[in-house]
Amino acid sequence: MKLLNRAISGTMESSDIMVEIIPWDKDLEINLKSDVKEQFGKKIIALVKKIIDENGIEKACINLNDKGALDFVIKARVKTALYRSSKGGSDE
Amino acid sequence: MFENFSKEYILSNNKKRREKTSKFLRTLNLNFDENTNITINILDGKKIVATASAEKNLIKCIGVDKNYRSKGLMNTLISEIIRYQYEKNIYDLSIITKIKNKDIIQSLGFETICETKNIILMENNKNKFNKYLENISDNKLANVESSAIVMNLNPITKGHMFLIEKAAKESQQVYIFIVSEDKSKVPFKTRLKLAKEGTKHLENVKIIEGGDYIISSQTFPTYFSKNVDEWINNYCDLDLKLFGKYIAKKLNIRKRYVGKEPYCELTTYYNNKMKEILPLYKIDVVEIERLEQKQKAISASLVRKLAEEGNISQIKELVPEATYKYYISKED
Repeated sequence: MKLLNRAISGTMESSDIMVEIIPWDKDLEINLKSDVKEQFGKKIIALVKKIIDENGIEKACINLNDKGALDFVIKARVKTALYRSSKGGSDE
Repeated sequence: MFENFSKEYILSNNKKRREKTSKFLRTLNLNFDENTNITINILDGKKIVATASAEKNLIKCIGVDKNYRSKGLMNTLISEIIRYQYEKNIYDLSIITKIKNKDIIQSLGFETICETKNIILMENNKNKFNKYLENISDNKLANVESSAIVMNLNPITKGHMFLIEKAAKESQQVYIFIVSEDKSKVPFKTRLKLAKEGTKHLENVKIIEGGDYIISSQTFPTYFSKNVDEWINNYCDLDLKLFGKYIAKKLNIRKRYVGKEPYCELTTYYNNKMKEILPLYKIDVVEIERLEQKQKAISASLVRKLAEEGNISQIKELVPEATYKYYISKED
């Protein structure tokens, strides 16, 4: 998968997560803001990193604003953001 | 509990719904700002219970019905605005809001740029302001105590030149910030060009673009209160604190020159606030009497009026040569 554009998915509503992907030339950077960062921060970042790795992406900036999303929500939101970034925009 | 909630998107041409939104904001003691591109409302049935608007990169006119707070409606609205603007390739967003909203806006990914007693300016990309300050620093001519003037120069007149030349004579360095907002009769690029040409004989004067943080729509929250005085007061506080605390510091500005305002009430108010706030940041305010011609202060609005009436020849004695040439070339 090749990232082409800045893309966003999700919301900052309760139990959701907003994911932003910015393609760049630098190494992968994941920034997490979360109400439960202390308890689940490491887990969330590991999960996101795994999805990014699976798609063969090494260079990007990922901004996450989590409002207590469960794993499957996080997965869906990250995949959607990746899809939008690689296709060039939202498909809604 | 959310079953009856729906969203509506209102574009600037939808007068009817904008009027409804304005009415809702007034119940919260807030004003609707006409300068918005998009308004998003949350409805409970047909009733508006929360609203937010945006003008380019500025989110404004945020309000939530008192009976619908703590339900996360603000989260929904800001998420929607971000998504909407994202599709228009507008990524970096700012919010000006009452200070009491600070925590919730912060939880939505925004960081504080500047706060006053009543209001706060927050952005979701803090690098933007840092970059702005870096760009300002790039204009630094020498590390000496300097003076500044903030002007719209719409267009530059002999009245402005009088003020600039006086500042240039009394200071080692003078930085002139031109208000970048393109809401003036003379386009920003032209104002900038005429200012550079008009001041090129003054070696210690540097023209700088004011950008988003000096008297811009970003520092201009027009909706905070029905009471215009309170609004002007908040706006002045924010604008002058940004200038005193951050911008002036980058260029070692110790004096700010300003022309005495004989006509405009708002400018007079702003000038008085300047004298109150800037000394807190060790900046002296120097107010200069306007240059008069035939017992009347030379003003840019007079020049614009003459231009509109086609009296180009009368403009000649009021403006520097470059400005006069601009009007002649426009006439052809």
